[in-house]
Amino acid sequence: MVLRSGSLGSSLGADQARHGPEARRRDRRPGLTAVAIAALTTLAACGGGDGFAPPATASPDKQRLSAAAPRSVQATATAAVQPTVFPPTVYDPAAPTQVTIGSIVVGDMRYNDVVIGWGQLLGAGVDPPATSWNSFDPATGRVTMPRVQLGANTYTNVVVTFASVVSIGGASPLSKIIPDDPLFVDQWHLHNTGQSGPDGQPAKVGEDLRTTLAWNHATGVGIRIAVIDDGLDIHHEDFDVVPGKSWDYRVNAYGDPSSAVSEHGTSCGALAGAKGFNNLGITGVAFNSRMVGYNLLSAAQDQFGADAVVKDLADNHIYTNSYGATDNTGTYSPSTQAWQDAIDKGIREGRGGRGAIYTWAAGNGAPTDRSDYDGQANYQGVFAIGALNNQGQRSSYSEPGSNVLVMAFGGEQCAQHTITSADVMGDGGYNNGVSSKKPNEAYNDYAGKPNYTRCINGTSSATPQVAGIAALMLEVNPRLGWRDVRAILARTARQNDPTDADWVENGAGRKVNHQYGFGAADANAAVLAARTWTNLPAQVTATAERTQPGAIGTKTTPLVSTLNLSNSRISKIEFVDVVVDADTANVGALTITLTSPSGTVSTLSLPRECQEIVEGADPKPAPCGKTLDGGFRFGVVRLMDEPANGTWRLSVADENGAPSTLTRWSLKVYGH
Amino acid sequence: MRQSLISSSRRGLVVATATLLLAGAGLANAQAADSAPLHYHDGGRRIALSVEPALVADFGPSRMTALSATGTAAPQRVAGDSSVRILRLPAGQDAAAAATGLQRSPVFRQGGTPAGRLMALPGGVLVKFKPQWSRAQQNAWLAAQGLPAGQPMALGAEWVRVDTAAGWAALQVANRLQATGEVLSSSPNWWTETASR
Repeated sequence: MVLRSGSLGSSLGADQARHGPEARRRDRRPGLTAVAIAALTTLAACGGGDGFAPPATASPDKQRLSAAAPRSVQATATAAVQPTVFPPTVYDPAAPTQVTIGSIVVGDMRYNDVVIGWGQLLGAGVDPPATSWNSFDPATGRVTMPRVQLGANTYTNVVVTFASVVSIGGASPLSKIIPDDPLFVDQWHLHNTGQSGPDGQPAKVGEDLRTTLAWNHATGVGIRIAVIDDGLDIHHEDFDVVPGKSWDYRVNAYGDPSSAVSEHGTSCGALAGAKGFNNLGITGVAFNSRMVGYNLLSAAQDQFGADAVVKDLADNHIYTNSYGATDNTGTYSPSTQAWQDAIDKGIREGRGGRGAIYTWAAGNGAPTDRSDYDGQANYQGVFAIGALNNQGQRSSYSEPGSNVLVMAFGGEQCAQHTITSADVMGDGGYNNGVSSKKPNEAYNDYAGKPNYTRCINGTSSATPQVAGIAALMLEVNPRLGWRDVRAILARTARQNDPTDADWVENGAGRKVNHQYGFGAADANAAVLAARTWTNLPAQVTATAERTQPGAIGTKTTPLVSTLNLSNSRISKIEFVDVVVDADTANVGALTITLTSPSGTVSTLSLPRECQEIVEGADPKPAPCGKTLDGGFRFGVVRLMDEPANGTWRLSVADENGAPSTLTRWSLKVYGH
Repeated sequence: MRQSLISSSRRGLVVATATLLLAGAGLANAQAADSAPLHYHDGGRRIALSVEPALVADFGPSRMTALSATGTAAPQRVAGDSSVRILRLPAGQDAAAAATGLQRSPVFRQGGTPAGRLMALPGGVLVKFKPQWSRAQQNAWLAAQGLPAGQPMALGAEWVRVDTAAGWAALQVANRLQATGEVLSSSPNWWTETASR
């Protein structure tokens, strides 16, 4: 049924059958686009323009956005920032042809208290909101309102055709959205105002994810994030967890993956998806996404590792993975065939064929380890994420690598400045609000707040932040393929620490750095790019192999072996697999670099001393062994958008000058 | 259902039989199907291993108690998770003997270096068949190898998990299947030391 001048209220109360495609086909009025924008702009110029000021006091029927609660005694934010308040969207039966939109973004402007005349009601219901904000689609002339108040009732996902602008209460350029969650003021990775950590050193203002601007466009509604870790406190007060869909690998069944010691997964998951604007705890990057938890680290068997990354593949959009081979050993850690096949399945079949998103911690083992040595973080289906401190520089532990895509924030150590997140509720986890729950660990946490911590760090912390950004991107453009998400993250990344000597321009003109990948992930830029992105063409691959053995040279005269690639049909590289097979007594003595046809040099391996790591004991120096024997696959993302054809050079040197042989090496180039 | 109960019982019988046959088998037997040094295969690639002589992995439900009973002093936990404890045995205790229980495994280092990842064998082999093989063909082939039917895995129809006992038996079966040249991959279902980051 189509209403024109009838009662929106009666329509909202009527049957819900107007949601379907049939209803949505009615009355497409694209001609309204220009009229609408012009009307909004004109009215804004006449009646608005004095900014989007939150009311002095929030009325009861406003969204519940109260002032930030007092922070804990150890919090050290430099300045209080008022939470953002959006007026509600209201339908008043006394003016049946109109609806008052509390706030709406059109172009680069936010309009406030916009009264519009509507044409037809295309949909309404009481299901959870399917979008974050009110929106106007110029292509269809439709206005979508996730929540509309009608007296004491709230209807959701209301869609009407736009007819006219009656009035606009105000307009302003887009500004940062500040949640009301009390610990948000400490979340410098989201909004860096120069907060100080326990060491008293102020953070560098602006070194953050730029989420506060991105939230003008998306908050993660409709996106499901699987947190694969040691568990997830699915009962946490600040989480929206999909009931019954978490997996407990202790019994290998759906169940509760949490325990008193599942703090790592709880803290990591929170950084991706903790609820926002609920006046409680912290804010996740995608604070309206939903989560499930898989406690793989409770039973780290190969069959489960492969299973976890394709669990409920039809329903999960993103899998965030903050774990891997033991750090600081210096050894190559190949990923298993089963796990690789699982990732391949995920990127091929996930999200209806668009590909699941896999974010992966680059590793915390610097300087001994490079992320290049990690057969999971260097796999072409995953995004390797490094960590920055509060100065926007590489966290001291964050592993460099030719596979590192982008960076997010991990801080340094808790005594300096780390990340504020959730902890296991109550007495479990990192702290109980009074003391640390970890043996021999100094208590540096929020007094009286056992459900939260300010001491999570590592590439573990950075990884779910990027998962959250991916959730924002997928909300604004669900058609993005997984490769599109990777390309957007790389292209929109911000060049942090610009004076670092490792920055180079690759052959496509993209700035890239072994420490930082393409730079710090920029949520706002990524979301804006995602909205108008044209998906990449289908991926093709090209391979080449050299099987003629060669003697590995010394540091001054390294072996340089070449491969020629022609007719690859790849004008823009996305990723490169490099398999190196060498007969050498100690791979820890090798320097291995790959030079692309465009001349970009990618470091794959550097000399180091490997270490034997055993829990509870000091690391012991150990030889790295012959672990290139049989071939190890490295992964390179830093050549993105370069052409593939031409001569590739592999340089291999043994700093000890020991007799050794490059047995074979090969390339597999992915691109389009 | 009755049919599934019968299948389950038969599978259990086969596993138990294999376990009895393989229990007590040591390094020499485990490597009988392939030449030394100690290794396993994954995706057809051969990967070196070394044994940690003082460590044992216990996947059993009453882990510390059971192992304590095998020696005079309590073993020290050095790694593990909810499914396994990697224990350092007191000096003088025979790790090889301690690792022969039904739910115990020797502890290995990947790559044959002391810096390699700790690994152990909870039981099971992950097998990747050629994609054109049907489930019936897979199971018939496994039966011909004296093994129970494979359990499907979520990562693809060509993958199955084949039950074996914990420990050396899993490595021996995995290497034996790989040596046939008829499967694309045959690897033990390793427990691998994995760290949060």
